[in-house]
Amino acid sequence: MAALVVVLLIVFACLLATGDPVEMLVPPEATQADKAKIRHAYGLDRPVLYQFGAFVWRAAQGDFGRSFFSDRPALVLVLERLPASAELALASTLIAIVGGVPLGIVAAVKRATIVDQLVIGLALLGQSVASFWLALMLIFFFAVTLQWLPVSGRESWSSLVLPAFALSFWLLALLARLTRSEMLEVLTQDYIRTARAKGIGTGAILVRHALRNALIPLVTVTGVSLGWQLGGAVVIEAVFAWPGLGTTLLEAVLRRDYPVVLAGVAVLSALFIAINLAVDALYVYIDPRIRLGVS
Amino acid sequence: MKSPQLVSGAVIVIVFVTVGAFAPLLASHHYDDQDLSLSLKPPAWAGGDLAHPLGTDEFGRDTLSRLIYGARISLLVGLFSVVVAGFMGISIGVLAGYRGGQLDALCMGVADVQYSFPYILLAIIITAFWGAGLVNVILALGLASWMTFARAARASTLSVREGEYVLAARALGAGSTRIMMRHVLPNIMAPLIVFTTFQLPSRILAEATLSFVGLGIQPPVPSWGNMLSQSRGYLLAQPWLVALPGLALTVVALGVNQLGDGLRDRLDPRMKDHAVAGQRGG
Repeated sequence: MAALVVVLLIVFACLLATGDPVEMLVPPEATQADKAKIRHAYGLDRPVLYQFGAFVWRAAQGDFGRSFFSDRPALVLVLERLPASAELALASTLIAIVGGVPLGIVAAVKRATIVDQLVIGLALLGQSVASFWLALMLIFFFAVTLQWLPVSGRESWSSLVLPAFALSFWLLALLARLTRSEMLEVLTQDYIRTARAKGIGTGAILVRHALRNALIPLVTVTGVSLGWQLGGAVVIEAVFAWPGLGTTLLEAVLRRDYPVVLAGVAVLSALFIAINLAVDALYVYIDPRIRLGVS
Repeated sequence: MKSPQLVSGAVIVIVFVTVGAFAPLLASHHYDDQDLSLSLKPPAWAGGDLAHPLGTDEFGRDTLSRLIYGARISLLVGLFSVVVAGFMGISIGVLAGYRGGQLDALCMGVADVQYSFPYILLAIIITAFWGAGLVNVILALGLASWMTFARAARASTLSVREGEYVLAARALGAGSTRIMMRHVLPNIMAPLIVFTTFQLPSRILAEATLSFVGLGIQPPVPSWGNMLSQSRGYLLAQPWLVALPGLALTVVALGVNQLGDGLRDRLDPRMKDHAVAGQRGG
């Protein structure tokens, strides 16, 4: 909760310093009296600390104020966009897990072979490509040239493919690298040798014995990245005209629409904290030693 | 034993640094020399001519010259934003790790709070607050990402804080500042150098991201990000205009990542095969 208030305070301070939102609301010919009237109507003529205190008090009751531009409740505007962002974040995270984890396992098992080198190369590439450029290239090949998938929008499941893949590549690469390094460490452990000596099949050893013990860092990274995919996908959403939280926040920042920015930041931070708590809870299921307090 | 990654990474980085440093000498045209009669020319291999080997943009400006000047901006922003974040983060991290107690809890609490927010979004908010431009982008990226350095520096400081040489310096009456500067910092620098290298590509990509949304380097000064932003409308007519700045961005980020991997294997061999990654940049 304290974290949430501090994040809001930082963003609130930044927004106040961006300038007077009233300047963006009124036509150039507006008089000082007109501006003062609008400032008073939105409470922008009150002291800064009062504004923040009043904001936090109202926010605690679910009222983030109304958008300066659409005059609709800010929280409603943000929550309306959340499903689209959640859909994109979950789809891209799923692609990253399904692609990255098996690649990492294969690279670890085939260490120092051409397969390993290819996976390392792919992982390096994934962490070096700007996702918005990848998005533009995917649009060029799959939407414009081959016309297999839509260029933008959110009309059907096929609209999700390109943005989800563009957003997933970085995480896929990271998961592949991380899985490889964790598996390399786990595969040298005594219990793996014991499992082999007992005649357990390679697949079972990799999944039930090795991967399970390598899961904790993978779950941590995936959890943190899910938060990023939700709120940090600003540019991918903009490139694909995806009606998500990122584009709403970007527009709101550029137009100094404080209530929408603050509602968005609060929702994102709350989600991020919830994801972290869920990840902590997941540790207990993955590794019973954590529940039992065994080091 | 020479690491192929270290060599190829170093070659790529040296080439791009040289290109950026000597941009005015290497570029055949000024980045803003316009000739509308030559607009949207394709690269030489796709039907263009050698006067503009990589073609021209919608204003007839030479793409190769703009890419060369863009290298200067990308590397400059990447490097200095890492310096800003590194200076802030390492100072805070060493202080928090060495002092411990409430100061440590406070610093790491603030870092955790900032972690709870996608840093590119924070950089967008900060640049919206200060206005676009080279210095503001560097400061925004630095301020939005100091906490990664703080965490790494704190962890390293904790591991050397109780070292015998630190205890000996303390027994000899050395002050905290002297111990931190002369004994702690030099001993945590090797892993931090590796860590810093891994942060560089994400800052280069983050600058491109900011410029792409119009909050970074402002035209006509070229950055690979704003070149992509300006040319995306010509994806169909002249796809090379979009492909080339992105390729340059990818190659330089790849080079720095390879350099980071190579340096890690050389300076910290215990970490070989470990996945180290910078923050996401774009």
